[in-house]
Amino acid sequence: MSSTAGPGSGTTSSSEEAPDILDTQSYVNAASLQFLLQELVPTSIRVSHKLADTNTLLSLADKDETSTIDKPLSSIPNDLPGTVNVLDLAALDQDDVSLRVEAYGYTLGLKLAELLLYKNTRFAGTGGPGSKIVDILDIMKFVCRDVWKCLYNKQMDNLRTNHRGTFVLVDNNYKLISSLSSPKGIHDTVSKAKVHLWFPCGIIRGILKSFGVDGNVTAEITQFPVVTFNIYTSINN
Amino acid sequence: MIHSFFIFDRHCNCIYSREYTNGDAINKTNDSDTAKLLFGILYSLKNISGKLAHTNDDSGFAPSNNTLKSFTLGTYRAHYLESMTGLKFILVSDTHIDNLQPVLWELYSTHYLKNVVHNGLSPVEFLAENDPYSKISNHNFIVQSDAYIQSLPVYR
Repeated sequence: MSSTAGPGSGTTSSSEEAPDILDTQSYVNAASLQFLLQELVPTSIRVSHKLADTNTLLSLADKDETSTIDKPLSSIPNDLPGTVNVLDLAALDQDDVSLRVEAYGYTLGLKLAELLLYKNTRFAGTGGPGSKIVDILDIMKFVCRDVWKCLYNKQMDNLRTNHRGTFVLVDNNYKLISSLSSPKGIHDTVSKAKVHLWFPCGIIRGILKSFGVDGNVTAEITQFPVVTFNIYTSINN
Repeated sequence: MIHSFFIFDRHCNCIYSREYTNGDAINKTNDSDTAKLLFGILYSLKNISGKLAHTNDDSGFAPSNNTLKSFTLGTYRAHYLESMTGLKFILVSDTHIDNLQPVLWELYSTHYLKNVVHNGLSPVEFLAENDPYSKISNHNFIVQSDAYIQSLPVYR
């Protein structure tokens, strides 16, 4: 992920104003962010596991524990720092794990739309590169271009629609999962990567919601690491 | 000619071992005793190299100009690279190859980092032997590091 905004965009129009937040804060360590995002799913599993276990929940309040390399991160067997055993838990496919990850993305999507659109409208008024978003197809183009460019420094590779409110967005090399490779083979890689995909699904749903569109977003891995996002809306276009 | 490739983690466990026999056939060595003995030799040599060097401080670390790089036997040469984090990369070759330090560095900096550290489904702390995650076994690492080693002019 990178938050690099288009350099020099609109420099002619806004010389007297303070520089845009997306233009100035463009230096984020991509690897650190990637590692942080990879922790979403394990953390969600641990939270679900802890919530299911009422005993640990009660004893959680007044404990001051030191963190060492051989101290388990949760009561899940072999869940030590630096290991991935937590992903083999049956809880990986549980709905609450996915829903939690999706909710993180949803919140991010809502905020991100605000940030990107503020920029868009500002330039639209001054004849800059901003574009008007009038119908649902424009929103999808906004997701494909601006949102993906902001998050992954690339655009979606394909956008299709049936003109009845269903859209298919394809990323041929989705960054969040492209580096994943399970020791147990490609089937295991795909099934674990699927849980990670609830995060971008949430982002897209959040973006749509910020335009007042209720949508249902799912993702599937057709041929790793190609990811297909299916978006169902009730709007006929 | 390159014979085998080992990685040890900082807990002294062998986390990867690969044997390159004549031609293209590649077998995973199941003989863990070889790995343990090799590790023992290298561990001792590393300590000696630190002690032999003249140190002015008592930090216990070997000066960087006296680190172990390889040792030679009658028909074998073991090339050694230790990362700052304690990972040990070892390539065993015949005696005609003088220096494989750039290769070991490439295996660490490109292949290990890309396919193990950046790979969210691979552990970076490896567990005891009978666990499924006790070794590096992800497909990308095996395929890419094999291809890299086999592409070297000194491979055969």
